[in-house]
Amino acid sequence: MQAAQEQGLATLSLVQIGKLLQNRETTSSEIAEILLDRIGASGNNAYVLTNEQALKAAAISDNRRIAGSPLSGIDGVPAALMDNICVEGMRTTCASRMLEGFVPPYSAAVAESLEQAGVILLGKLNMEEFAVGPTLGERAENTLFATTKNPVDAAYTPGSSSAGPAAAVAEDTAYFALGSDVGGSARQSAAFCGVVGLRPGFGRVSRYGLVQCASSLDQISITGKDAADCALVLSLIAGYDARDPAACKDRTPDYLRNLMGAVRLKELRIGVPKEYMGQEVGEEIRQSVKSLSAAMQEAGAVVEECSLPHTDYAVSAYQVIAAAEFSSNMNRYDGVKFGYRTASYENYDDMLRKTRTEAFGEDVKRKMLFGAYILSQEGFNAWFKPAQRVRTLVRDDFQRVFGKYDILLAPTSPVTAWPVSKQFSDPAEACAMDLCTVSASLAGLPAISIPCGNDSAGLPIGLQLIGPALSEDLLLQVARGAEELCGLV
Amino acid sequence: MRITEETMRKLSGLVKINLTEAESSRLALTIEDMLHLADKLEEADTAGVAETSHAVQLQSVYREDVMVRSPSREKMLANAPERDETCFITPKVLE
Amino acid sequence: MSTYQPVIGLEVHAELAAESKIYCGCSTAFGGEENTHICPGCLGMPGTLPLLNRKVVELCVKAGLALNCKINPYSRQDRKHYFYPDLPKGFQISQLELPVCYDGYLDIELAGQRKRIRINRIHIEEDAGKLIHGAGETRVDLNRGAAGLIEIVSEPDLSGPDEVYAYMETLRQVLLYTGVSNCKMEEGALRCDINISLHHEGEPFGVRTEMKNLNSLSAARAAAAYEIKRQTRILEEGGELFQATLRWDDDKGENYVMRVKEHAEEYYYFPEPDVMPIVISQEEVETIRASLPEMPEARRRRYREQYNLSDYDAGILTVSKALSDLFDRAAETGAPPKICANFIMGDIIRLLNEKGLEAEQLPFGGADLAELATLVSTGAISSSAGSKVTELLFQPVNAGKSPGEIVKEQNLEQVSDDTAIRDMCRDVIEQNPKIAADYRGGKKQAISALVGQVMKASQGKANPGMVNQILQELLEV
Repeated sequence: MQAAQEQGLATLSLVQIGKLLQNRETTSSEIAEILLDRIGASGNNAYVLTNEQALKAAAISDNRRIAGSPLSGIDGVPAALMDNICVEGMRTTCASRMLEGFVPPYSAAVAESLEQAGVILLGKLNMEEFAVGPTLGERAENTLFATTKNPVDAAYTPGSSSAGPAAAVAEDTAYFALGSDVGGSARQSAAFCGVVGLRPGFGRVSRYGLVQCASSLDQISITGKDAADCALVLSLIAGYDARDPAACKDRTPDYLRNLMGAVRLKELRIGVPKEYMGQEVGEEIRQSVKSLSAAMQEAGAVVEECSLPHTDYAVSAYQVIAAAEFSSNMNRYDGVKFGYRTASYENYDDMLRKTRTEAFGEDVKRKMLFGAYILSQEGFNAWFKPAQRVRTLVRDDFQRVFGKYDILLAPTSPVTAWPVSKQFSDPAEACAMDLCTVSASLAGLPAISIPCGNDSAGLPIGLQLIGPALSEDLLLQVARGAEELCGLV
Repeated sequence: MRITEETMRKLSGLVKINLTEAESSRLALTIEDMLHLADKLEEADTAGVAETSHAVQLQSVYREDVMVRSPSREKMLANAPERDETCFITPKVLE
Repeated sequence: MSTYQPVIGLEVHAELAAESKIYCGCSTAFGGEENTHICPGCLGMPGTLPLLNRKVVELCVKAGLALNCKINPYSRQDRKHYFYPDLPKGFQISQLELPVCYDGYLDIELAGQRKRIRINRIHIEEDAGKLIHGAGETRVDLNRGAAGLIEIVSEPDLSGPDEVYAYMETLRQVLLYTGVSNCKMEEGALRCDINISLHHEGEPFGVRTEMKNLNSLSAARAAAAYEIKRQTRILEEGGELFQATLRWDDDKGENYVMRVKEHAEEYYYFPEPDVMPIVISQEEVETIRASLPEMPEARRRRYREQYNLSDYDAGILTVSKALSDLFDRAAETGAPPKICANFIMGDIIRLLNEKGLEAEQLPFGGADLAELATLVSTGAISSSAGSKVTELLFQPVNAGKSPGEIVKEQNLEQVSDDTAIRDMCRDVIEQNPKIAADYRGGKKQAISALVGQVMKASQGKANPGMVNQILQELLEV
């Protein structure tokens, strides 16, 4: 009986558990212990580190509640961070041997925000090495951690770079998780694991303390159990931070409160880009989009086909830019100031090469090499500049459609989770999985993936909403409305 | 084949990694595949289109010239693979 | 006499006079204990981002305007990639395609001839840290890392070692006057690389070498001279020159090869995605232009025209902005300009050097100098008393005292009373009949002994000019 109750607590949403804490129907210590037990019992490898101080922090939070001075509505709620978000004093590895022993002397802005709200950091979550993509399935010998499993079905992948957050939320070992989304990883993982993944617009959330992958494409992501949960978290972490030069100075709306109002589906014009509904996209997924479209139309929204004509080139542009920036960002790992250093060497150059050879996995090496090639004399004009121009065109495509539509509806991924045993021999095949997500990244737009039914194999289907710049408010409201239609809430 | 052995030698020299022959050939093939994907960009009509180099359209984002006290040296050296009392230590650079 | 003509261009790096670094708030103060001016940002730690210092951009524009450059309304940072222990991120944030300033010039003067040296560009970048080489290892001090720099690239318009010296000296003066950099070469605040090639007139430029590690103006001159000689010798012997980077050894007076450049270095530049583009409006440029001080050349002209100072005097006074500011403040009050100038060029500069002080640290100001110059010009004190007062003004115990007060305290008033001096002269003539006789006998230089005696009797206060004159009068009677 108690076990069922305990498990019940774990499966609640963030908003629900927050209310229970407020009403003193449970304590932070209680739920932290439950989740820590679940982590221990889970075989999904979502976590790579559990926080030894978690229970202590939970007890302190309980005292705050007793004293009547909680730091926020969710003071005492346990959550987790992907292991590329720095937390002072806590090992941050980015799942790479290169940072195996790295203990940052600073915390990321989002980690600080959560701490200030009294959120209990349960631990750090698994990811692909340095959030690199594509990974080609051959697991190199020096992978730091065991692969994350999809809690829905361990025979299928939980997605690429941001598997940890999606798995943790899906298996109910965290009420929400923060990670990163570069080309769609957080959205894709959320779709594959049946949870919600939000990528805020570029500049909305400070990237300070997020280990860089591709500088103009990285953004902090929120993985949660539903849109309302994501709204609550976004209110906590959004806002201007002088340490991020891209930070936007707009006032942060109260996302949760705005969400709880009536969702005005009938005033909305929703576009469905036809380029995301082609043959590359699974039939059942397209059907899911159509069903949701129909339901939205019934609720009074206008839902029409629209076009993002340069979608065809977006994956190429994304891969070129991401590789160039990734390669550049990896230059700081040289065995001098922090991180791994090889055991024996003759001189600086020898040390440098051996260090980087031993500490980087093969997928990282490939991306670095490809990136360097792109930026070489020949490559710069042949591919890099064209990619940057295509980026402008992709951005313009969105601007055009958002002149006519409020929100776009699309699949999150052309496929549902593929079997773990599948090997991509051709990187282009792996890259094509990002078809529906890279464009929003290139344009810096906010996007969210919500679960909308399962396919015939029982695997979750994720549907995506994309909004214009700084429209997270509207995006979350529509997501909530869509959730209701998808029969979730 | 655009990614030749010579290219791989040059690239691995640029990013400072050592590759075995097997790794080099294997990676060369997949990088060639990535190039193939990148080739698609040639088909796009980008004549007269400006490049986007930044994620957001901000300009002149400045910090004021105010000195901020640095964190303690101990803290900054704590992650150093090799150090002495006050400095990071690296092996000698061959000129 | 060689027919080869040297073609020389300079790349000068100047550390900017900003309180904090270019991309983080760490201090730029020189001489701090190792690694005490570093933070996660300038260490390149993962997750940190560059935050551009506004002052760095302003100082670059200021330098550009003072060097007659055009200011790019839109400029941008680029990443320059290479690996070295003093470069934490493995790339330097610099500017490649769109520098802040371009197309300027600096006029230099050599042996009365003026020459215009064109400036190709001035851009902002971040400095690297410092390496301290030991026996088997290298120590890395990143205090200097990410300090803001400007790089001033000249066209290859210089033709010889003396022009190199003149260019560096003039450039240094401009940067000091505008407050862009403190230019202390001994602290590494001003560094130059020299690019030299030779050619015959009308023919294309020859193979170019790049020389580094020039830590003083005279080293730059000597190094240029050496390299021209070296290249000339090789070419005249029919040998071949290689494009190389050379290092100058000032102690030995020669250079040696650091590395041979077979092909252009691959830095794989691309636009820096984290630092937003720099947009500078016409108004901002004008505001900065309005803040430029009077530049040395204009000031020298004014000294010649307004105060009738000689070229030589104007030249010395304007070497230091602080000293010429001092001169201006004194001369503005109406004090005799030549005497003010003499005090500066003589006693003041000498005492500053003796005490190891910078001109900015002078313990008294223009009003004091004006008063001093007036005291001397009116004869109230002798010029040697003036030197004494100057020395006393430097002493901390006299801080805040005016020259007049010091003169009174030290009893330095010159006696210029005719009767008093006449009496002293008569006494001295009486007491030294033999010397007086020598003088009257034709040995005119004997008078100096008598002058000396009067000065002694008056404790140095008698007006020497009057003493001399009155003694002559009395002796020739």
